[in-house]
Amino acid sequence: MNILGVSALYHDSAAALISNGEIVAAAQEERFSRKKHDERLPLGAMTWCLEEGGVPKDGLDAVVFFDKPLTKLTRMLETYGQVAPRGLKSFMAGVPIWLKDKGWVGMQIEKHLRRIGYQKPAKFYFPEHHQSHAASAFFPSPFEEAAIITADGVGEWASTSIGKGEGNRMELTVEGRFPHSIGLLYSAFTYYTGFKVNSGEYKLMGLAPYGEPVYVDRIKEKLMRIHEDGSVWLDMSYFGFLDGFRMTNEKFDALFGGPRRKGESELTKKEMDLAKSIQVVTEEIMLKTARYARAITGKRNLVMAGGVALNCVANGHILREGIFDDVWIQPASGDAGGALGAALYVWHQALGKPRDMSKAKPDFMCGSALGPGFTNEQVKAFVESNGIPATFMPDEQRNAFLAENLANEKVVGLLQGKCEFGPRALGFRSILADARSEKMQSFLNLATKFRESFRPFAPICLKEHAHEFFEKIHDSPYMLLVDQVKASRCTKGTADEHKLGMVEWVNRSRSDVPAVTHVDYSARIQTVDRDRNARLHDILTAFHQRTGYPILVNTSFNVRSEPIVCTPSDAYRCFMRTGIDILVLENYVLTKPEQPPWKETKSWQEEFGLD
Amino acid sequence: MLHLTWFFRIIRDVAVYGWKNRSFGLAAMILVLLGIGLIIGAAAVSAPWIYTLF
Repeated sequence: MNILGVSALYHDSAAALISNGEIVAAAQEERFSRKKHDERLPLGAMTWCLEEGGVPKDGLDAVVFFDKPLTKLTRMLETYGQVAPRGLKSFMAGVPIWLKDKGWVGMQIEKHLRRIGYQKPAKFYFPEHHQSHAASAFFPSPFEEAAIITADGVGEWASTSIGKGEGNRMELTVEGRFPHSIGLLYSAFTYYTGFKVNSGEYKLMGLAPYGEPVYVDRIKEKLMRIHEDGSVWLDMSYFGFLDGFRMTNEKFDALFGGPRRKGESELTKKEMDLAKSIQVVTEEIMLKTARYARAITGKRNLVMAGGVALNCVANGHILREGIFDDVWIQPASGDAGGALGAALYVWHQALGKPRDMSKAKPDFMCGSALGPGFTNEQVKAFVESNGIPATFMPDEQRNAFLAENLANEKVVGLLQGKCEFGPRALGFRSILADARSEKMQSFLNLATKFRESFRPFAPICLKEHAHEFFEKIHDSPYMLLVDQVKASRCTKGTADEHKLGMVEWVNRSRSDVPAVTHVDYSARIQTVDRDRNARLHDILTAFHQRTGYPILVNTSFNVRSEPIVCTPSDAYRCFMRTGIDILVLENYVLTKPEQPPWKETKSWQEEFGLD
Repeated sequence: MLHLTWFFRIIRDVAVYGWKNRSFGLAAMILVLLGIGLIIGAAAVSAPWIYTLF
């Protein structure tokens, strides 16, 4: 039985295919369309999933859309009813979009399926947004039973949900409702500090360690109430998203001493302090929510999904607090993961099909390598047809070559295996570099990724050596947990470090792996094991043998605002545009000096804009 | 045909929503909005210049 899950029309649209309960394929539309956070109907991803799964033209049994568009419309109408006549402009913009597009999403999907030759599936399902998130968290997890927390901006009405999963069933029993939402609160601060909503939240999180939590009391006294069960109440007189196109309003500006920062202008101490303050508040809310979830479900393990579950600093805090024995977070926690969750929801919850727990280790996500992959033959055809100089190397030779060059501070672009599903590059489409290098953070930010200088880089570390580098978290396969670098590896900073300029501060060496040690001595960890990514494990092992360090920098293979590369062609273009020294396309190795001059009429800035 | 099938499905969903949630006013409002949408859509097809008014 083949079930196609689809998420679309808000941000990060995606498709996922499950066949007889097994996850066969999942991909975000942005990887095909090359438009970051693409929200349009995922025609490319849907087509690819069906082809990848070899689904016959009459073999698609069900299509599941990840939320209920009609309930969302009722929420919009009720909200406008409450704030009228304010919000008329927003009403006039929002309702026609629903009438024209969002209300007809089922028909649009059916139309596309017909266009590519598929017969109408027997059934269309529309589970609730948070049911899709919850299903994406629980069903692929390694746990037989677990507490479930989902948290994001808003689904239909729910902004946070708590429940539990047991075997092939899940149930959400508690929900926080719009407009009182931790996700929207965080997005309001994202907006106010000059980053883009629904894409800049992770930048705000990366900015937080530079600041001090001086606004925490003001946030908690004026903007909101936090209850003991983790639920929140927002004072809507400070926010603009109910009746307009802005997240915050003049009253919010007055509370924090001036208008929002303009995008791309200089970051000041105020933005850093705001980032730290909202991070502290978010962690308090998430910890309370986790404690409450533990208390009402009695489960020893926790699973999470939803955009807020991408806050890896808060996730790490929950795990370190020991509220639960173990925590598993869906790697595609944002709306993209809703496509997968929706399909799994129908298979297990609606159709009552069992979960085969004999396959639950390490989990059901296949390392999140669920997107398009390319064989050596396809790479060969690509390089030959484009006259690109490349050398074929068997794995062992290739890995030794990479280890040697990485140790000499070369930057490597890596395309091997299937594309990751979710926002993180996990070693299938990654840029790798030496974490020991003091110059690497600023070099990667400014010359390779062309992004803001304050942004940190994450380490990948052999799982069996993680305890040598990090204090408490030694298993983090999807780069969704932050922990402190071991104190014994760190050099003590000076008390007045925070008075330095940001660039000088970030470039100070803080440990023997400075490129992946953030200014607060934290690191967003990815541990690598053979079950999920054996070939990346081999590269790290080769580097470990060469240098004694089982750890590298891992950052997504893209430039700022570009979706992570998908095909060899995407990878080659990114390689030639940036400071990457070596490109690996499966077993083909390309070095920069051997390449012909790169000519293009359009720069990456023109092509992708700024996020 | 496809449009009609889905149009009736939406009408059915709105009616079911209104009945289940005892939100008859809201359901009626959605039906009115759908009606307006239908008129605009029909006008756009039959007399595209009308579409420029919206």
